[in-house]
Amino acid sequence: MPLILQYEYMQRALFVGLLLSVIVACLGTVMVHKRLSLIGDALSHSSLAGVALGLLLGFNPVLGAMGICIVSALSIEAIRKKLGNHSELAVAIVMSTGIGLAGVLSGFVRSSADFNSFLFGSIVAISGFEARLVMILSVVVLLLFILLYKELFYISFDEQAAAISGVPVGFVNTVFTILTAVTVSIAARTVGALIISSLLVVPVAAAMGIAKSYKTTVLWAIFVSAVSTIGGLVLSFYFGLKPGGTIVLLSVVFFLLFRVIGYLREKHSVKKGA
Amino acid sequence: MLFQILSFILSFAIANHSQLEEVRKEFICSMKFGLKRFFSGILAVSFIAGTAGVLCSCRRGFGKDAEGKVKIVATIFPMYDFAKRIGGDKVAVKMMIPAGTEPHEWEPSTQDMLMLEEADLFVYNGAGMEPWAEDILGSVQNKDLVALEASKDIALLKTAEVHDMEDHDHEEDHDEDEHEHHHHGEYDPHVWLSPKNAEEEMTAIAEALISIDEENADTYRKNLEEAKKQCEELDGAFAEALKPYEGGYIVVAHEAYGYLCRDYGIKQIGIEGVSADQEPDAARMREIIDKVDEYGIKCIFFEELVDPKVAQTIADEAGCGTMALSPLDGLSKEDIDSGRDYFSVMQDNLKALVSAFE
Amino acid sequence: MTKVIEVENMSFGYTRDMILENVDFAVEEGDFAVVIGDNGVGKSTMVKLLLGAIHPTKGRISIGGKTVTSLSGSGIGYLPQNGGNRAASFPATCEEIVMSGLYKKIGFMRFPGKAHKEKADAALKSVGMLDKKKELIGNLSGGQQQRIMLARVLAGDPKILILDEPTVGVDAESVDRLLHILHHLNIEKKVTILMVTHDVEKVGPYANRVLCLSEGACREELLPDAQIVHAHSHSHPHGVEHIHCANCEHGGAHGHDAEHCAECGHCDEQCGHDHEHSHEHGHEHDHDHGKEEK
Repeated sequence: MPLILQYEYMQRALFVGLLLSVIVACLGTVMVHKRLSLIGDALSHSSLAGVALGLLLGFNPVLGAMGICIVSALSIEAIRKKLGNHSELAVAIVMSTGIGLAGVLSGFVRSSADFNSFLFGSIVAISGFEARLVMILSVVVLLLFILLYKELFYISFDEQAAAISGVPVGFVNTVFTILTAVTVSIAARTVGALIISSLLVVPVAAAMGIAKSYKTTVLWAIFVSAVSTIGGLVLSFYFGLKPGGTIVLLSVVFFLLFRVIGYLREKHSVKKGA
Repeated sequence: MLFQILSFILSFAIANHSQLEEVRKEFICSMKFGLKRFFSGILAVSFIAGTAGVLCSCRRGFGKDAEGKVKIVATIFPMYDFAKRIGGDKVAVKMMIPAGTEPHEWEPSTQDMLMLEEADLFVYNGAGMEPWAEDILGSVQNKDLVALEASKDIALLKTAEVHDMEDHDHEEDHDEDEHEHHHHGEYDPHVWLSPKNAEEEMTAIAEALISIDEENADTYRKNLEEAKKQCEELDGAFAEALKPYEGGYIVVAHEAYGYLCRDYGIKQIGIEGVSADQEPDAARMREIIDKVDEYGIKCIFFEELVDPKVAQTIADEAGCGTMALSPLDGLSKEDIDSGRDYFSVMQDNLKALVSAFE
Repeated sequence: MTKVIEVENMSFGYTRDMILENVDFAVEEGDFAVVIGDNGVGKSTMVKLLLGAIHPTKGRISIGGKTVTSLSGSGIGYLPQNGGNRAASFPATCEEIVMSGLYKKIGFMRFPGKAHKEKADAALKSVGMLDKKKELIGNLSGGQQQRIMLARVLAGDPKILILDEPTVGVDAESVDRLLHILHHLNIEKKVTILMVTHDVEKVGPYANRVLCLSEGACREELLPDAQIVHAHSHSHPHGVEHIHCANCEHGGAHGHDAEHCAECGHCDEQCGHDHEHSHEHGHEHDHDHGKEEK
């Protein structure tokens, strides 16, 4: 057995990382095309307010974070609808509100806590409970993503037309918004906010550089996300690099690589055509 | 607290009723088809936030009780505790960094500055613990304020030396360990974790107090003597209890125990950064786990202010336990209110250390 | 004839100023209706109202006898205005996009089968884009993208088709092609068509009904009304030869000569193979009009 698999924390990191990278890539494909790329950032920052609220009112801060995450995500969805062309503003507005609220509420928290440490985990320190939670979450997200693939595609491409065709747009959007919120809050706590907010976007952006259809976009995004996660963990294990940063940078390398490949291919085909 | 907020909002609402009504009308007119609900939501939130902010800042500052006493602003808990110990009932001490806050991340607010304008003595640890101290001292207008860097007479350990106390074998892939020490600067600031240093710091505080308040010099001297005695006792207890374990290793969340380790001949292995922006890397985790196995370490120490997840993971992997070990830089409000002080926390630390070695 | 789209005394405004006031018209089954009007008279607003994206301030809109309350379920096919940069950046193949038009047929949370794929192919073929099936939509020209969108709508076999300014941002050839396809649908499949356009010259000849949304004399008051102009294509001022030419796919046998056909240039080559069926359709067409005139 290779050294990396001899440690339980690495097995867990690889396993949970793989699961999360797959579902986050799926969610990311939906979010990017709904112009909500930064939703991961917004949600993970807003959930700080939930932690503060939890500590203040005496309930589990992680549950508080999840609650605020869901509320924030639904607000983003609601505001997005109102703003039309400027839907990306919804993310900024909710993020600002969340950070502001967290800042103010944290002033009242008297108990001992380093906020961030309760909110943001590290991929190399995952508890057994969290691993099980991620497993359940992954099954739910994957199942719904596959079942709602067609609906999500239609909504991403043209929400209005989808509604006219009878797609229950509101329902599908709500389900996916909640799923994203739950995923972000669990994943931020499990593997850290950096990994989650980046893997929502970068693999999809990379995939769009070379994919020749929506389906392959999803598949490439999953591929980039998974390979970056595993690769980042391996590099971190053997070279002592920070895992979060390494994973994210690897996905950016894929992005650049795929863009160059896409560019070269285009150039080639133009030449051939001419 | 919630009740306060509500009543505040209510009183505000009554006082400005007519204005509010106008604003509301305007809103309803202009937002008829649009974002009415959303904006009023935001408005309500920012309103609460604003009032909360006002309330929040009211609690700072010296009260009437402080009249006739030497007003001291201390940065972190050990400074606060030492100042109170030396000053006794002749001084009023305020802790600048609120209880339960990680001091490394903290920065002073305008309210804190106002507090300094009122104060007679500002006690800070120095050695890089409060990198913002120089800045605020430069901008304070209070000419009578005496600023004391409590660690000024202490031989500081360089962070590199702290590192030397640990094993060297991973040094090459970890060259500078920038990440861990960047906000500490060149020296390890956690001087108070050695009872001998605590004594030095208290002496410095006593000297400063005597220079400010000659009248009560005797009280301060007496208090200092008492504290010195306690420090010596504590030092003796540490030396005795840890003697059998000389050369032993402890695994700690944060490499804060350099002075303590130096004094009692033990070695610390620090898990790198434990808060969100300081995650440990996978290789470091492996090293620690391997060392825990190698040295037969039975316990991983975590800090009370940080989520013990990383410590727990290592403990699970290596099959050992976890325990809290306080670096004392941030003590929770509950702990302070329940009367815990430097000596009691250090005694707890000693117990924890001993039980980790047993 | 049954009225499939009814707008009754409908007014709408985003603010207190009404964009549309007391609009009143109806479109009957099998109509090819054109809504014309200058820029800013509320044509696009009209489309949104018909789709149910926004709701009338006053009055009623019903489609197929049911009052329109929301976007969903009206069963209409909608071809949005072309040139949105949406399509250009969306990584989907033409086939995938056309497949999405089959949503109603496939059903919620179900997967497409072979029959659906064939249906999508047929829709792509009907707009002459079958060879671009695997192409990314972003790599196509504006006109081609529009045809893909049309194929998507057609795949769902709509009984009513609403088009918003389909001649904007599309090359002339594509416009002609589009109009051919629409005409074909209208005649052969009895699809009711309502098209909003400012390009009455091009579209007018195909329509049997022109609804003019204009400010008329009341220009300054910003109170447009809808004037309903019943106009059969044959009596339309824009000339008979246009219509015949456009109809050449089924009307070629009615003694129309090459000169007329030259108007649209490509129609001989493009529609040539349809000529066999054309007689029947032609008759049907005439028959239809006959009925209507009665």
